Amino acid sequence: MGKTRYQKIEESNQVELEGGKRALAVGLHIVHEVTSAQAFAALKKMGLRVKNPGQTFAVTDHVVHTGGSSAPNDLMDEALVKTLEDHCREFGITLYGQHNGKQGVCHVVAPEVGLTRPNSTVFCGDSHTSTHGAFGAIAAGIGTSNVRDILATGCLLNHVSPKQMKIEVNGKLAPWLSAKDLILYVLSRIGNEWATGGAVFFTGEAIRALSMEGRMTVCNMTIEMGGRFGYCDVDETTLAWFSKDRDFWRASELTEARRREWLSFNTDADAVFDKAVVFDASEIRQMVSFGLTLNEIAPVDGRTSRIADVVESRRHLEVAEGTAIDAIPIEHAFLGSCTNGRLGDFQAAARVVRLHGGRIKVKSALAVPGSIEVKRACEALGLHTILIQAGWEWREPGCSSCLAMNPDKFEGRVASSTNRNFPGRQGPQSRTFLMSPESVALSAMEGHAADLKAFYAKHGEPV
Amino acid sequence: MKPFGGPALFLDRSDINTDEIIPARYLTESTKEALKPHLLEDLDLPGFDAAVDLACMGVILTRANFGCGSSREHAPWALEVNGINAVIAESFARIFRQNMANGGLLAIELPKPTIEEIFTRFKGKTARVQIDLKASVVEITVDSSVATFPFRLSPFDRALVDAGGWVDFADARY
Repeated sequence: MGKTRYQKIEESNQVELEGGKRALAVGLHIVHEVTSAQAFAALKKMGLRVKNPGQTFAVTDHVVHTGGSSAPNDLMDEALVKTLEDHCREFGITLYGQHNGKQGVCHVVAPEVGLTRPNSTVFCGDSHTSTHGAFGAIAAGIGTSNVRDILATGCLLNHVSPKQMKIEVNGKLAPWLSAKDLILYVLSRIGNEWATGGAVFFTGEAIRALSMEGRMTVCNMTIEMGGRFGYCDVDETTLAWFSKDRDFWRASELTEARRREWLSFNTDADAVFDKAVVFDASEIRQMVSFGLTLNEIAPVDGRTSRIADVVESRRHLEVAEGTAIDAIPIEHAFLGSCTNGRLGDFQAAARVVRLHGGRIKVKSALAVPGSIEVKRACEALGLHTILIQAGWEWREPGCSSCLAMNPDKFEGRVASSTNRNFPGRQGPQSRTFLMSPESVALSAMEGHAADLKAFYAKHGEPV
Repeated sequence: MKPFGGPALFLDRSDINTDEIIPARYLTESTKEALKPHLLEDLDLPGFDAAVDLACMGVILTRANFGCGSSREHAPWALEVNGINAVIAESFARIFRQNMANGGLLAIELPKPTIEEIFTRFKGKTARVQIDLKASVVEITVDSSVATFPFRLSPFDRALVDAGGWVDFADARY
């Protein structure tokens, strides 16, 4: 019987601890300021040190103030960042933070610096850790107690093998669509619980045609269907990522033997899945979420269906059942996050803004690069100028308004390239409409979601 | 082993997420106790007022996909410091469920029709829940009548519960 890539990685990373107990070895442990403080404290209380500082990588992202030096100070945010800085110094952990001007969203930075590698295991106290599965790694989010376990032992001690699941998307995605439309479409079909606890293998022609950035967008949202792990097989696109030098990777490390080893872990044709679903990319349309869960997603030319549990305090933000998606007034726009905060996302958005040629019609539009590297690359291409001239704010990297546990909060309806549309997620009086970066850009310019196919056709741009 | 049970709080909605259980703006708190006044603060549910309705509650009864969203262990910590020791739901999000187990909170899944029956019969009433781990039954008492519902725990989950949670279980064994 064949095996999935997940199963091969799990098997090769099984270790036996003292007394015959089994655990899963952790190849890369990413820590950030919010979910690590209590874990480090517990470790120190037990008189232990970080077992594998070299395989631990720290980033500040969640509370970072993206407004730069003019941002208001928050003592508790500062305390969290300082605590992480102190712990990293104490235990010899590499930290990409504001102190060295390298802060960024953990799931953007770790792949970018070459730490996320195929066939490896990645864990982090953050639910969007499945992002790293795009590289053919197995990666999942964990709670603070399990962050503590990994700091102490280098292993995930309480690992239980998940169910094997497969989402296959065949055919070709229309050229005006993106990976975000693909994953929002899948969610609209299977709902937010389909993959609960599972390891989801994303495959099929449409997945293989995605860039690494697109695959990260898809794997990132595995958690929104309840999945624990989401991953793709390794192919030439994956290998190309490792054919250039990165902060923690040399192109020369991509030897023939390594290529063969990475590829040998690909899912066998006769692998068995507990659950599988197949879609045709030709059915995918430009998708927009309109409700308060990931079950409420419709095509841009569709209408809203009933939304469960409208509440009084946010009723002014509500949209009635049967409203045309492109008629919902949008008041703010947000570009960024671990889902869509990479160079390709800003290129796509800036292209829409440039073609449009006007100024934003929303009250505010925030563009927050996922990392310093992304920011520099955008600026080298002049993307920031296109955005700024159209009325966007160009910010420093961070999680920003994806979860708004920093000053970046909105009041009103937000077109957002992020991953969750939970009530008040982007500020207590916010309401989120999830979509692709290019859809966010067009929504900002038009004041409502709009059809990209028609937009590109009007501007005579071949897509 | 501590007993599981207490007065029942009915949260009649699916997909109650971790942002609603403990909003992100409180994740900068450094102690569990500091989370106490903020449990379910952002949950907008008709007829529910976190400031009033949480007092002295022991068990939450709710619908599907409880705890979906972020990996913040602050969510079960906020339950724990408010005296909530068990949640009974149709289903749980995976990371949240693990985080409950880490701290020794009990997550019990009951089939959808059973949850439906419980809400139909008991929601809005003053109910008390006792969880009998030995017999694997949930007992719901309203006035003096008792209804029982069987549940199942995996042997591993049961071992964690017996140990007082994963953290204590791990400390004793690793």
